[in-house]
Amino acid sequence: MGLIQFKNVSKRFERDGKSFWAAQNINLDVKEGEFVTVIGPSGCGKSTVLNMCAGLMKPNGGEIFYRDQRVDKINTQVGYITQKDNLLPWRTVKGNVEIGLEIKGLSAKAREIEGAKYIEMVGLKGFENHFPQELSGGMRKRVGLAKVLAYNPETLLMDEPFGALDAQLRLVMQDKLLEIWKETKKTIIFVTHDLEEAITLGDRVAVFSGRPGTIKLIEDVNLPRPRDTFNIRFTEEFSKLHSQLWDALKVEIKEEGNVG
Amino acid sequence: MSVIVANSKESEVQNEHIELENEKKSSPFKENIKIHLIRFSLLITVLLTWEIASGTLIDPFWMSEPSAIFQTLYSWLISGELFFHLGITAQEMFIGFFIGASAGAIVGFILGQWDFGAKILDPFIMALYSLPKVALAPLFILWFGIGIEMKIVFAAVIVFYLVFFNTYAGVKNVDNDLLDNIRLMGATKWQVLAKVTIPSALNWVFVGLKMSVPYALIGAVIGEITASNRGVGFLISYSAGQFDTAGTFAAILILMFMSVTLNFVLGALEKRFLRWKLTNTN
Repeated sequence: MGLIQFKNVSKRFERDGKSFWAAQNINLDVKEGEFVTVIGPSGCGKSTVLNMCAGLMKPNGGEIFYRDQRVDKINTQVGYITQKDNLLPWRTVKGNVEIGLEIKGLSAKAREIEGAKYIEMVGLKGFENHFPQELSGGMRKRVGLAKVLAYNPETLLMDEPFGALDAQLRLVMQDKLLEIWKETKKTIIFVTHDLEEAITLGDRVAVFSGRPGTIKLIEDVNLPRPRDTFNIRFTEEFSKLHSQLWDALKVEIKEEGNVG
Repeated sequence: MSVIVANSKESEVQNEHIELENEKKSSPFKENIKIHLIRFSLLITVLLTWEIASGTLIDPFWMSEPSAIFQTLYSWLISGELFFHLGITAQEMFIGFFIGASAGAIVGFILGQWDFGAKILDPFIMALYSLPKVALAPLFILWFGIGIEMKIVFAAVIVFYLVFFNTYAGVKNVDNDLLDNIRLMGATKWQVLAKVTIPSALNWVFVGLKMSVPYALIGAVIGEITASNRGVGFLISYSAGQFDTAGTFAAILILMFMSVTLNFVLGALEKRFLRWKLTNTN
């Protein structure tokens, strides 16, 4: 049995009086400790799926189970890194990273030690006392990542967390994430629009179709671990998988292009 | 700034360059001194013109003259009247501000959280809000007499509305994503309130407070002008009643001094408490 189960999950939205399906009949089983990456054209309901998994939205059809419990309220077992950084503007970097630890009731001293660890990990040592407004978009993203990692939730939902970073930093962060994942054995659902990233990180890659989004293909990534986030793309296995997934994805993106 | 590639844009580059050199020549410090000097001479010119015009072009009965105004101020300072009246007005203003602001913030917070209550009370609050507050002065005199209490209540009522509306808006405008985010971390209701809702609304509350301080002063002074026997407002209406133009101007000057000082203090406080807001994005 998986840790997270999506059973025929559908979600409908209303906009301008018209309703449309953002996601339809999603079936996915995520095992404990698994790293699943999700890829698909923009607006295909990938973020909606994460929102429902976090309990922030209720599906209009189907059910989501977390540890065999139906998700019908906010799911505090998951740490959610959304596309928006969601930092508290009146708190410094340090204050933002430590907020989850505050909620857990850790002492100031313990918070400081834990927080500093993750601030250093995302490469923001020396920026502890800066306010979010004083940081670049990429730095804010990294603070958001440190914030969620610091309070150590069991599962991570990540919605294009590295989208705003430059290519080099992205590789470094992917590397860090894999390291953290290996150490903490967290379960991760990782949404991205970058196919290379999806293959580099995931145990499995789920390909979404265009709206209404549904999972069109799930492919195992049988690349050995630990993976070298930079060199892995030059292996034969990788390019085989890449072209296979690209074939599936290409159709969806083309359709999206035609509509637009 | 755009990166220039084509030759055709060369002229733009030169323009920018010249501007930069100009900036270097005048240091901000010198610029500051220049502005202050010009301001000062403008003030002197106005005062001198006034002094000369009074008695020659215009009857001093209407205009008085700066020297007479400062003389009156000085005599009030010596006699202790100045600080007595200023103290009374300041007292009314601060107590009124404190009561009105606390009540406004508390009610704003409660209604901001409690939609049902806000819906029910909305028409009543709006009806009272749209009433010109000055109209309440006679009623307050009836209830509280012409002493300091009436001015305090009057100032408090005016302040209440400003702080209330801002607090209410602040609570309503808390970013839902921030709330969701902290709830996902397992925050209790109180933690959400203490760590997100209140700090987020505080920014708005502060705007309300800042706006309402001058209004507290207005409330106190209007109260004094309406009916009283002390305070700066009383000084103004009493002097005018005695046809003492210099005294009227002197009292107005005291009032101006009070409000300028207040604004200065508020600005400094804001800088200190809302540093995160003022820092530049770079």
